[in-house]
Amino acid sequence: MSFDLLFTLSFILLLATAVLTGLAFLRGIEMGRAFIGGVYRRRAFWIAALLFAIELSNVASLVPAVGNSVAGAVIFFGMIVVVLAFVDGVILVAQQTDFFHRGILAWQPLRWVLYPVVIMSVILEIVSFVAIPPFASSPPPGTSTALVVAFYQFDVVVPVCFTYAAVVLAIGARRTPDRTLKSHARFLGLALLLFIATIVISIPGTELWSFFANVTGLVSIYFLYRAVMALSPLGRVTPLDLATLPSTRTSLGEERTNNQTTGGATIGR
Amino acid sequence: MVSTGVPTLDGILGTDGYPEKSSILIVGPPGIGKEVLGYWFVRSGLVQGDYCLYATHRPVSDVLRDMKGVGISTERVPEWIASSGSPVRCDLRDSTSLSFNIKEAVHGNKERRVRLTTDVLSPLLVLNPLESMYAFWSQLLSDLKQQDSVVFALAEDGMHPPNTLTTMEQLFDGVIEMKLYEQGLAITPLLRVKKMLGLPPLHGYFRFSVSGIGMEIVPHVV
Repeated sequence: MSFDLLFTLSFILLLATAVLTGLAFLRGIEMGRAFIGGVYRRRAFWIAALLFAIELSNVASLVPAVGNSVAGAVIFFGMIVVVLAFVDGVILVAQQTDFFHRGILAWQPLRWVLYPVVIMSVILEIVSFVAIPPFASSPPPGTSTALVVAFYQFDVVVPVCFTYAAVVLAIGARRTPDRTLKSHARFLGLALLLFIATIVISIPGTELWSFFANVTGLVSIYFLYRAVMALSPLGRVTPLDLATLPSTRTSLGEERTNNQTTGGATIGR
Repeated sequence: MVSTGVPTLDGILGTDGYPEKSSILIVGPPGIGKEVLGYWFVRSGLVQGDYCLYATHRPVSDVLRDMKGVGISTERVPEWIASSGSPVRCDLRDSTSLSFNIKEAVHGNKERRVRLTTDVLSPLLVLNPLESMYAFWSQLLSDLKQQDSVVFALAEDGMHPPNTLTTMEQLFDGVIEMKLYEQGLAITPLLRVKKMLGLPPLHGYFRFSVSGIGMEIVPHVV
């Protein structure tokens, strides 16, 4: 495959990912607004916040001036922390909804270790990006060992932490009796695994591997979109044949059919 | 008729409320606001001097906080059978004692109309086989119907296989469905009356919203 074709395809994939992320973000907001309250409303707004962070990162990567800057690096690596916080939230909810509130692979104590480890890894990665000019995909010869370690540690630390989180998520999904949360957590787990794959695949830094990383990135966002839509069973309003509708008498003494309005009222305290 | 506590819903039913001696099932996904209909039903009963019993798998404090959140005064509260904070404890793993406690509380108030609101149907369905739960609810509802009582139960849509809820719906005199509907990019919470004792099938969807001052239900024109 020629370099130009690969580059064009990668750009199209990035564009498609940005569009799908935007759509999923809108769905998340709509879902959050539709829920009255509780766990599901928070889940919907949380996932919308996560998608917003991903969208920022997508847009930054589409604009070379931003993508190859400190701001771009901060946006991308900051998103990693948001992903961890979101996954942590879903795991805790899955644990809550388990009738026996069983712990999952020592997540409760280990999450307090996971956060500082991931945050430290992100900070080191940003520092190494800034220190190795100009945002090279690999450290040039002569780079100090400390910087090389800081550069590569992220590719090990984050996939290991997120794989652990994905396994915990899968077990949480199995244990929760709530079918809605089960399917939400499943899609989220798949999205997380593909996100890890995206990070790992993009390590070589070549154009071909970046293309594959963009493919897994798009599929990951698709699963995130499915996770948003799995927050509630959705129905479709069926336009009824009005001619066949029986009319019913309301307390207001009006004949009511499907296409007539009876007026609404708000009741107070 | 027994007022729903929401005047617009009374109007929609066309009978000024739920039928006497009936059992009503509210089906909807978690977080959509089924409980709010239950809170207004309880509130209406307390105002009218009915005996109100709330059987819940949640702690009393959680329910009271929710009630306040949707603008319902908690100066007057129902009797509780709850997981904590109530004299009688709700133990989901012991459905026999739960049924006994409910019946005992209801039979102890024969001189008044009884309103029983409960959210234990879904957890019980998760913890027990459908056959035994069918028998449990069938027996409990028919026992409560011997008295002037209205049972108001909540069921979680999306938590059970579809045939489970369809089976349970057969036991109830009225079924109201609350669900999120997809229309283009918009997602709207709508309500519809699937069946109601003594009423012809009611077609049409109603938009509803809950705020800190009350519940609003308006027809949704397709």
